[in-house]
Parts: sequence; structure tokens; C-alpha cells
Amino acid sequence: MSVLHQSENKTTVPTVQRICPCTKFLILLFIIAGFLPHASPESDLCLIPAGTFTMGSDDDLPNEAPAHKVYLDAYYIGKTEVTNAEYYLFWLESGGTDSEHTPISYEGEFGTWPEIAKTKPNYPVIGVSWHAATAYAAWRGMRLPTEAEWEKAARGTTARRWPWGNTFTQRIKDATHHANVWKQSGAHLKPVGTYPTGISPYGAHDMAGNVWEWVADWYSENFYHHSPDRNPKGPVVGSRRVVRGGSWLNPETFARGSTRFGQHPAIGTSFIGFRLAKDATPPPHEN
Amino acid sequence: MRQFKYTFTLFIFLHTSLAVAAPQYHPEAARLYDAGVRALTHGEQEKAQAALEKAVELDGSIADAHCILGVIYKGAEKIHAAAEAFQRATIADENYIEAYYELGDVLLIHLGDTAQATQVLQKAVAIDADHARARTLLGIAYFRDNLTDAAINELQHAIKLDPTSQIARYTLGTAFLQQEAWQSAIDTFRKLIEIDPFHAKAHFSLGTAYRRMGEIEVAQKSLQRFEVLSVEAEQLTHLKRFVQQNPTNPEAWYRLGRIQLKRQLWREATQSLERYVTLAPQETRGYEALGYVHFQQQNYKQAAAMYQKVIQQKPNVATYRNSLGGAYLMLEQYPKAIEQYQTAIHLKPSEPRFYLNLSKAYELAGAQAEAEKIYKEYERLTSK
Repeated sequence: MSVLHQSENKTTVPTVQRICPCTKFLILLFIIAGFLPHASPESDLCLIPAGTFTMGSDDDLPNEAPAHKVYLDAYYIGKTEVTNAEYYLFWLESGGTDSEHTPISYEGEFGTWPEIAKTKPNYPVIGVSWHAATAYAAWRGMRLPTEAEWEKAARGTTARRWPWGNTFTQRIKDATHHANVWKQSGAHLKPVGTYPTGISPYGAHDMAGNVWEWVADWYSENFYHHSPDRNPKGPVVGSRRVVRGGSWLNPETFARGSTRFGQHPAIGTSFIGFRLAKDATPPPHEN
Repeated sequence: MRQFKYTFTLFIFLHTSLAVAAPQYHPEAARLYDAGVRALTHGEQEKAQAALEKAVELDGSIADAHCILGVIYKGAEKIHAAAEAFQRATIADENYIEAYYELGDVLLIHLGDTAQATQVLQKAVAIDADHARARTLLGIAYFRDNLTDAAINELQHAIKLDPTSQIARYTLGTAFLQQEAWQSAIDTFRKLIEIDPFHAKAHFSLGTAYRRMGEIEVAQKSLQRFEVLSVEAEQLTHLKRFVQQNPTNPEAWYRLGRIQLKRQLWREATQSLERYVTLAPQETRGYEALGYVHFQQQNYKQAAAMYQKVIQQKPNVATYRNSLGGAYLMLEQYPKAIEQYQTAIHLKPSEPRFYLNLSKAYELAGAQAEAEKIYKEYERLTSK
């Protein structure tokens, strides 16, 4: 989903921190002219066909229960989490160092912003609040996925525990690791798409581990007891937003497709990122 | 307490006058917040507390840092500090429902300040009418204030939002008892017991309601159940303490494991019974119980391993063969399951359920004719 080049190049970032006005003007001109893709090409998105899936779980944490059927219209979801390189242009356009959407600089292994966009362009952007993630998505002409959209994209229609299946250490194509989660030896943030055998049934990477992902919904632990069964959008109010998928900081059980957690939306952390979504029109049907 | 109330009033004032707009956090405070949350994730409570305290010192507007600190203080039973932290969270984010809820909980449950708690919880419910825990707590506050109708209303609403809430159902049942609405109380406690069959107080209250309805026999059954569960709960507490002081006593671990098994506390039962089999590897009863616990947790591979150990020592007990067959069946190892069921039948030919299981194993293995033949044998035995 590179905004810099349509397909392969996620490693190139303009070598600017304080971009000069002329260059900035040119970048904006390119964006307007369509030379740089303002909205992501659909090849960087996974199409999730319309249909019903099982959301939640009766066998795990109370906030995942009850397992229930949910129908969703067709939509697209990002193949990967949004990267530093992708976020960089938005940051520049929203004011650079003056931007209210500047990611938090954690230093150390996480690096400081904006240098990290240059040194680790393919890593997921971290230290962004839910508000910043939402603003970025809008800038790309997209949105954050709803909680239901995120879960269907991760688990498919067969209620998988993890995107690749029901066993965490399952061997697939000679690989026993499918996700970047906390182990006894520790763990670190990794570039997006590091675990090709960990893709979801629809082809999305890192839906288990690496970073938790902001989704659009307010968090409510008992929402599933009274949630609508068609295109649920979450509670109307709340004080925390849902994050999904677990992270490098958490063990595998947090990376299950039905695990839910609430996080205060005003502040980012080193273990939360996000991916994009958008409606698919006209909606193709799955079942 | 007076000082605390003063502080609380001050915070309410601050709250209304200094509501924080879209925050831009102090960079170091944001880093410390992150470090605190990460430390807490890995159980490093002291490190987390230190980082978060520094974070809020540098930047008091990080609502979540205050709220997490409140939870840490509450866990450490620093109740006044917890209350202040939650208050600060509501100042930093005036719509922070969780912080209102936590503050309400501290005021009501820990400080016994029903009036202040009611005020805070009403605010939480006003922001989010679907917050089941806040509504439950508000119901409890009303009940404590003898506002029974309001309590019932609130608790019924809470149960609609979260039908699994045991505390909401228990308080609702108690409120019905107070209103002498016996049938409503009975319905409520019965539903609670459906959710948690080991809820001793629910059995007692159910017995009380039946007795007041004049249904003495049913009442006695409930009260007897209450007594059994109470004794079990006492034993559980005693044994937990005992094994802490005597960690090498196998009998205590076994008894503890059995009670935990009986109460379907599978994870705890696994731990206790694993300790038992380590201390008494020659005893089959540990492997048998552990096999059952693993089976219940759908850990069929481990269940099979335990039953194999039992059978090594007692190869001629039909029920063990049947149990191992069950584990193989769940593992979809049908030939092995069939072999175990056949042995079970050989050892005890009069037991119908072995035939039923064998028939099922044949069916799953695709041997339909054999399955039907064995099923007829099952029918013959059960029709006697």
C-alpha cells in the first residue's frame, strides 16, 4: 500500500525532515495529478466478499462471547498494516513537525520520528492515536475497518483461532512461525509481511501479532450480547476504541482472531498500529 | 475521610472548569506512558507504577495514565490514591466512562460512600446507557440506599445488557427477596444457578425464597446444597493454604485437585493434579483425574497420554479402556479407538455404553455395517 510507488517500493522515502516549500508543492501537485496514488491501489487491498461469518468465541474470554453470526457487505481491507513510509507523506502534508498527527518518538529500537520513516520504512507506523489513524485513513480516501470487518478478514468464515488455522505452532510450508508475538526470548517490532505463512484466508498479513490494530468501533465488553447481526458498527458511545490482533508485546493467545481489547483513543503506543479499509461497490457475493 | 471529600469536591470543580481539549502530549510523558503500559503487560507492576507516575507528573492530561495508575493503586489496596487517580482521569477526559466506573467502584465497595458513588455512577450511565457494569454497580448503590424499585430497574437493565452478570442477578434476587416478591426471587436465583451451579449464596437465597413460599421440601434441597457447597468452599480455602505451607504433601494436592475438578476449575485442577502425579507417580488415580480434566479442556492428546499411563498399571479396568477410546475418538484415530472399545467390551460385556461408543467409532471410521451391528447389540442390552 505504498503511497510512494504503486506496487513494490516501500523502501523509498524522500530524504527530508523539514521539507522545502517547493518540494512540498511538487509532491502535492503529483498527488493531485494522480502520479502518486492518493487512494491505495486495490492490488494492495484484500477483497472480502459479502456474506456471513461467525464472530466471537464461546470458549475464550468473556468479552468474546457469545459467538454469533454476522452478515457483512463486501469490503476491502489493507493487505498489511500502514507503514512508516506510507504515513510519512500524510505527516508532511498535515504540517510535518507541526502536525498534530506526529507519531510519538520512542527512541531506542523503535527509533525517532521522522528518521524512522527513512531507516525503517517497511515497519508499521506506531505511536499514533486513534484520531491520527482515522485522519490518515480519511486522507487516503478510506477508513478504519469496523471490528466485525477486521475479525472476518482475520478468521474467514470458518472461525479460525488464528488467521492460518487453529494451532499456533502448526507447520505450513516448512515454517512453524506465522506471527510476531512475545516469546520467552522476547520480541521486537518487525517489517510488515514478514510471515507469509501467517496470512489470513483472504490474504491479509500480520493479522496476528506485530502490532495491535485500531479499528473504528468503540469498545464495549458486553456488546456481543446485543449487537446487530448485519454490518455492526459498534456501540454509539464509549471511552476506549477497540484494538485487535495482539502484538510483539503479547503472547500468542492475545493474537487470536477473536481477542478484543479496549484502548484510550487519545494516545498512541509502541505496540499499536492500524490498517485501512473501504467499501466494495458493487458488493460481490460470497454465499 | 473529610479530607478526601474535600479533594473530591475540588476535583469536581476542576472537572467542570478545566476540561481538556484535543491533547498534544509532552513527548517524554508519552514515552513514559508507553513504558508503563509495556511493563504492566509483563507483570512488572512497580516499574509500571514508577513510569506512569512520572508520566502524569510531566503531563497531567494523559487520562489513561491516571486510570491505569488507579487500577494499580486499587490492586495494592491504596484506595484513596486510587480514587484520586480515577478522578484525575475523569478530569483529563470528561467522557472517560471506565474511569467513572472505577471511581464509583472504589467509592461504593471500598470506601462505603454510597451517596458519592451514586453520583459518579449516574454520570457514567448518563454518558453510556449501555455500560452493564456501571448499571450493575448503580443498582447495588440504590439497593444499599433502600431504593429497591430503582435498584431492580437498574439491575434488570444491566442483565439485559449482560445476561452473564452474576453479581447483577444475585443483587436483583436479593432485592426481590426484600420486596417479598418470592416468585421473582426464585426465578432470578434459579437463572443464576444455571449460570453458576456452585454459587453457594444463590442456593441459600433460593432456599429462603422457597421456604417463604411454603415449598419446604424444595427449600431443604437448596439449603442442603448450600451447606455442601459451603463446606467445599471452606475445604478449598483450607487446602490451598495447606499446600502453600506443605508443597510436598501429595494427598493434599490430590484432594485439592479433586475439588477443583468437581467445580470445573479446569486450569487450577490441572495444576494441582500435575503436582500430585509428580509427587506420587505410582498412583493411578492422579493420571485418571488428570486425563478427565484434559479431556474436559479438549486437550485430547494429553488426555490420551494420561489414560495410557493408567492402563499401563491397570490394564484390565474396562472404564479406563473406554476413556482412552474416547480420547482417540476425539483425535480422529479411529482404529485405536475401536481397539480400546473392543477391549472394554471384552472386559465388561454387560456395559451398554461401550457398545454405543464402539458403534460410533465404526461409523466415523466408515464401517457402516459394523456400526449397525454393534448398535443393535447396544439396543438389545438397553431394552432389557
